[in-house]
Amino acid sequence: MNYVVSFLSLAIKFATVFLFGATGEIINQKSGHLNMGTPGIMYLGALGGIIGERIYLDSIPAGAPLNPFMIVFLPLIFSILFGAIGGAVFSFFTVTLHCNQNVTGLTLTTFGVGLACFFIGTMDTSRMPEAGLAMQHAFPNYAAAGWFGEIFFSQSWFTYLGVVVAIVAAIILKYTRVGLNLRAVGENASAADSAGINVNRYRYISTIIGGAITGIGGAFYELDNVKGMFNVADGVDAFGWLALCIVIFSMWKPLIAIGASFLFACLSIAPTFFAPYLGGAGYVSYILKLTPYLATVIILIIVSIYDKKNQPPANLGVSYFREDR
Amino acid sequence: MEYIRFENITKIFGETIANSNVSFSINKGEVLSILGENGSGKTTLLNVLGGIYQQDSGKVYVNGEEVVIHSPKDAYDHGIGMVHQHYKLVEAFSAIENVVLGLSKQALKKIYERIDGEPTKKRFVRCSISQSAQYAKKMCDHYGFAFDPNKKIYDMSVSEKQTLEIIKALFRGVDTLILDEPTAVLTIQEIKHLFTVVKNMKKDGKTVIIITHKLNEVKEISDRVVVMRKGEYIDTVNTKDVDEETLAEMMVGKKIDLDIHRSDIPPSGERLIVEHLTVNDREGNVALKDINFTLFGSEILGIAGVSNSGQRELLEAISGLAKDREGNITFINPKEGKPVTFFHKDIKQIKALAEQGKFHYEDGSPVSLKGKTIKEITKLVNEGKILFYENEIIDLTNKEPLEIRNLGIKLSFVPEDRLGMGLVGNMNLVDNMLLRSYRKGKGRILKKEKSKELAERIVEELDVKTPNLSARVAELSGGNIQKLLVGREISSRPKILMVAYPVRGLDINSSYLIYKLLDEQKQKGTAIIYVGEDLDVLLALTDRILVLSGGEIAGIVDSRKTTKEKIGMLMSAKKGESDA
Repeated sequence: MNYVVSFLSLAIKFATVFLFGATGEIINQKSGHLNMGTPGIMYLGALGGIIGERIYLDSIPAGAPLNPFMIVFLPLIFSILFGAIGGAVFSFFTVTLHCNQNVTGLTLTTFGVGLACFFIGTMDTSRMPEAGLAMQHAFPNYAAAGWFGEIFFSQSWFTYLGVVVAIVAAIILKYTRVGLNLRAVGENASAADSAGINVNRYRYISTIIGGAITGIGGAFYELDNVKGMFNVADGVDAFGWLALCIVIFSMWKPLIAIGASFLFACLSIAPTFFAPYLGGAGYVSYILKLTPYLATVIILIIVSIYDKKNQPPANLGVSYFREDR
Repeated sequence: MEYIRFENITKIFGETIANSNVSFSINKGEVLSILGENGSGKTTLLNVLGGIYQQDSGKVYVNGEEVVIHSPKDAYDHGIGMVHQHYKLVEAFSAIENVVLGLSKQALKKIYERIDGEPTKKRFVRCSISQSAQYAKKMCDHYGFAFDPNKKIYDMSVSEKQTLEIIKALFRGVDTLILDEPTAVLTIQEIKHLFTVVKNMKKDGKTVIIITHKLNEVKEISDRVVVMRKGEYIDTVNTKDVDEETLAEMMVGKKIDLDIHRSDIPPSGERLIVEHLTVNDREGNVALKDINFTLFGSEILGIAGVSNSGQRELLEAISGLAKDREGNITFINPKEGKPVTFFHKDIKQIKALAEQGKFHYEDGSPVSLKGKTIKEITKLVNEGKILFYENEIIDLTNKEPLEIRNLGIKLSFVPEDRLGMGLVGNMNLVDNMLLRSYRKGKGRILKKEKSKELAERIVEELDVKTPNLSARVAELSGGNIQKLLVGREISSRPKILMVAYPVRGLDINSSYLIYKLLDEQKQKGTAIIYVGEDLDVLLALTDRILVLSGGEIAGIVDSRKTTKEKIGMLMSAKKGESDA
């Protein structure tokens, strides 16, 4: 029982990273932007988060107790800012400079990973693990609710924020005028344009917001999951790529992305979590490590064959310039 | 009363001058046709008014004031709406979602007030989709449109989509509606319906601008006609003062013959025999049922029928594209007295056929290849010394599309989306020619000379308007793209040529050119299947007409002895009913 509880609790923590990435990317893709810069933007967000945390840690006297609000708030603001910059750069290249979306996205990933790794490597890590622990639990008394509390109330503010963001995104996309317009831009930009929607503005804003949300995911991973031990933090981008898979897996629906993120998180942590119990059969953990990717491939095949209704936005990856012939 | 005025509008795309110094005015409440051939710049000009393009120089006036229209939204703000040739609808959305797309709450409130005919008393107006649907319905009732707010666009017919585009514009309260080639993809009945709508709009005081190249429609619907040619404004005339010939001359710039030539030559032997052909479509429904007919050489067989009567499936079955089919399709290759080549047969097959006594020499003596070396046989074949005794009978039933193509059975299907099938928009003219023939060359390096020659020839013979041969195909206008597509298929010297809607969206000059080309092919002995929409053309061009109705043959008639009305009756007749 204990294993199950701590496994699920850890899975939810990891799912948070996926969920931010997936929600951000869904918002991007709904506007027709196939943003393959997501892994890079996650890294940028991670960099922002660490800078925010460093600024806070440097501003308090050495040894002073950490403020549980500030330790979440500053990194959050900075990761949003950095993620938004990533999204803005992507939009600038694809919308304003008419660059190819795939090339721009991949370049942004390479750039974001390189830049963030470089600066993160030079960062002062003192008190970071302590800060990581301080932001770990939104409700310190979670244990009062038994195993339910252990699983669901032991999480950081980031996790609850992630779920709220996904739900809000789902509502906006499905039920509001803005969401309708945004979906129209992603489905048929020229139709949206002729209906009087400012396609460029929608693409810019949605990509910046999507980037900001993606960035939070990166920051959360860096600050909480690895507790500031950046030397083991390589692999934020892996979360980014899997987030792209989750977008397809959840068929562009943020609500499904919540569940999909959890599933992917389970598959991702299973190898490490169960390694001690597997004894000598080390190869099993490699097979387990493979499962999230394998699952994506299988789901992709199934969805593309059998599900004709939940298809990607029709203009996904297609840039729009009104005067194009 | 002058309403909209263009003054010296010039619009340039790269090296192409689409409009040069165009000036004319539009009156309030009139139906104005903009007549011109493909590539004459009529759509470009109206796109300037619709906010899609920005003019490079010149001014637009609305109600005497100079306006700058930056976007379709600006156009709507000036009361101008445009229905584009390729509809701008979001396929995955419902009808009402497309109608309210991009409208703000304030805009919707104003629209509600306009439809109600009075200022709203309510402080808060509900702007939900269902509320908007009610108002849209109310407006449609006024104009007599059928409107199902929840129907998805992908479930709609072309005509329904067009109606929805018009509803969309009217809902936004436009005073001026621009229709770009509105009849291009509509059936006769749908066109009639559209014209009624246009007349209703005129009654309502709206200005309607119709971009077209069809003379009879201009005569039928418009008050005045603006004629354009090669990007320039030619003249404006009152429709009732001119006849079709004069309009055609103004449009083309020279006198053109509006008669279609049909050469009266006797059909040569049987070319294609279709027996008991039954085809299921992709969903598994019966699309064609028990089709039997014979196609002769030097003959144009027309196929008539309302859309989706099985025309597409018939052509696909013959060309080997439809997989789910029963029945026999036999191709009779006119080989009698012709030399055998290595093009379709390898040396083994030739040897085998010689064993069966299928060949003779020029002097009539039978060919025996026994004891001859491969080198000797190759030499004989290459010199054309080995001739067939009789026509080759080839069963096409289980052949692959590529094999069928190589036998000289060419399908030139001109779809609504010309760039989607057949041509690659981002490649230039020469490379597009190469697409069909790249398999023929030897070696791995592409040889472009032949394709270049072919492209040059088609551009010259069919008068394709292009800046140069290395222009991207997507830069050409629709009609010119189509000319390339048809020209390429004809140039491959087919034995059977199947064309579907080859003049769809083409201007007069190009259409007549295509008819002429088809007739020339017929004179050369080619058997032609022509799937067309325009009954007048079918009657004038073809030798026989096969009428399809609901996937069955309603009748095969002699084009010289039948009437439009009779074909119309056959088209709408259900097989069961006519039997009863």
